Amino acid sequence: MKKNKVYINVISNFNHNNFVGLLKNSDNFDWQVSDMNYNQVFQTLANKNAKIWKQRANITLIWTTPESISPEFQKLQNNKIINSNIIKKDVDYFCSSVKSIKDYSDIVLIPNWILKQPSDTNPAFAYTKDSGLDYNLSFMNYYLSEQLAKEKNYYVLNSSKWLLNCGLTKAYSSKLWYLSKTPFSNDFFKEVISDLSNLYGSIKGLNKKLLILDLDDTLWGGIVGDVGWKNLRIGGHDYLGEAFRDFQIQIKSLKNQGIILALASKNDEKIVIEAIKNHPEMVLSMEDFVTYRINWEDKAKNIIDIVNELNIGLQSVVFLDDSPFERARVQEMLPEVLVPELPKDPIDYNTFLSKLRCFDKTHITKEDKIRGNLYKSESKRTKLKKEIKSLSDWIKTLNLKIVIENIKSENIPRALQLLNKTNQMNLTTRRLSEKKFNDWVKVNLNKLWTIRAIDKFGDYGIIGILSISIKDNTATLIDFVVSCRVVGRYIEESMVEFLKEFCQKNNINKISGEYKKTEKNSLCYHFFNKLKLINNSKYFFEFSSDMKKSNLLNIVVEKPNYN
Amino acid sequence: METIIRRSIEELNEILPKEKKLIINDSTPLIDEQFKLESIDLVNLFVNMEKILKKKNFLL
Repeated sequence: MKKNKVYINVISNFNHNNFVGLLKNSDNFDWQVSDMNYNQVFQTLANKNAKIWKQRANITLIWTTPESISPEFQKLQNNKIINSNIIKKDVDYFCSSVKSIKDYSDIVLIPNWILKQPSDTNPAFAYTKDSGLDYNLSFMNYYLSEQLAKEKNYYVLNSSKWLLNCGLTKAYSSKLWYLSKTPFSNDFFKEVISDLSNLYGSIKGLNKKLLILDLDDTLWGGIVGDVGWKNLRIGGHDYLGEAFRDFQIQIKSLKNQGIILALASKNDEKIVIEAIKNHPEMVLSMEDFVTYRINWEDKAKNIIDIVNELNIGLQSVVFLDDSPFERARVQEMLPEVLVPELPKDPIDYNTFLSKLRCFDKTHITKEDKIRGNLYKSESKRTKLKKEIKSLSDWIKTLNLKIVIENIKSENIPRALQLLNKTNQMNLTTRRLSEKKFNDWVKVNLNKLWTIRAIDKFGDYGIIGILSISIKDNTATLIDFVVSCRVVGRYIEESMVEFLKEFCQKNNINKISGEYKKTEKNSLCYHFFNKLKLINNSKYFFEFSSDMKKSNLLNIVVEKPNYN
Repeated sequence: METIIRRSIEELNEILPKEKKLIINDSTPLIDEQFKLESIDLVNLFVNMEKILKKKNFLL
């Protein structure tokens, strides 16, 4: 993608060669840098004939250390008593100099002051007015921001945040300072560049506008279709529930800043809406989401539908999902969409979101606060002509392997868990105690297999069970259970194919079964309906074991012996 | 030692413009007639090396 050109003037009292090198090599913009020899700050600001002012810049960065603009401050570093009024006058002079270049630059950025080398001060005097280094540095920064507050397009940047993010020991380089007058490390400069890019992006309206969210294990703990809304982990006296709740609070605050929220979740819509409406600890409500796609479709396709509906470009979208599978799919199909790597542990979601700077704005207007409502009432339809790789083509890239095994003692606990807890992809929703399960499996004409799945993202473990009961020449399908974590990857089709093969090898001609409808297993209905085995008026099915083979893409299926 | 030099050059390349970036192989000259590095670049290179050596406790 072609990068936007940004013209930036860099004026500093220290050697900024490394900073400029990193800036020019950074990803977000094509930075065109003009600079002066270092330590020519006041001279450059005063001389409007200087080469640096020949062309109006997008950004002027004026970066100084406190002793360079205030000799009075420098006395503090020599442990002398000072007059803070003189420091105030020094800052006044600095501010009048920076204000004088307002017509030469679209925006002016001034990092607030930190020491050029770390210094531990005597804690007894750190915050005394006439001799405290920390007191006077804080005062200088406070006074600087006060003096520039009314200047349009002037921004004071928080250098302490860069120090904090970088870590004090990594931020400074004494060697580089003494050898080349470069006070800060490259790690520190990278923090600065990240903030610069985000700030410029937000000023130019290039930052992200729409946040599309998954639900299960992203906005709440648990899979709502399996556990029911009452057992979701949100809030309450639960460390994880609290983390999810705080995450929702942060997301809501983004909405209050004008970021539009939408949902893209593989779920039953009715179950989700019930959960959002009824769970007492939910922070986000249906009204917070401008639109949603809650279905079993491909998420990349759902995202395209959403941006079409809202008439927003894909480059304005951020997608958050706990599933590496879903993130990779969207990342590959829609490279313009920002898909950050959500941390594995939901405890870290909040910190992660607070560090995402892609939503930053420089002003929050009244319209921003109601932006979601504006989109809701004025959604337009524009067809986005975008061809994306089909889901089946993409699944072929996953190197999916399925291992089907006869039930064995070490797999019984997991098989029982699946049987008793899976609601959505579950044909009969049969529930058994351990004893009844073991008794059932021991019957010679009953067969039960576990299904394990492995793909390039990892080993999912046992994610399904398949069971039949054989009588005469017919195998009755009793359990067809798949964890909804892995639904929609042709695992279900592979299970049906395996069953047909098993029956053929054992001279069983027919396979029958009955879909037992519940409030939660409509997903299973859709699958068997897709195979044209059931419909709204017919839940019982029967088919020949040599029924036409389904396309299993390139999935590798490891099978047990057929005896 | 080779890894340390390699990593130091990688860090240096982060600040060098495209046309000056060093190719990391045994025959790349650091100081000779074709010498492209300025003094500040050399300073950066050696400071990088020292930093990595310190991390690995090779320097006291």
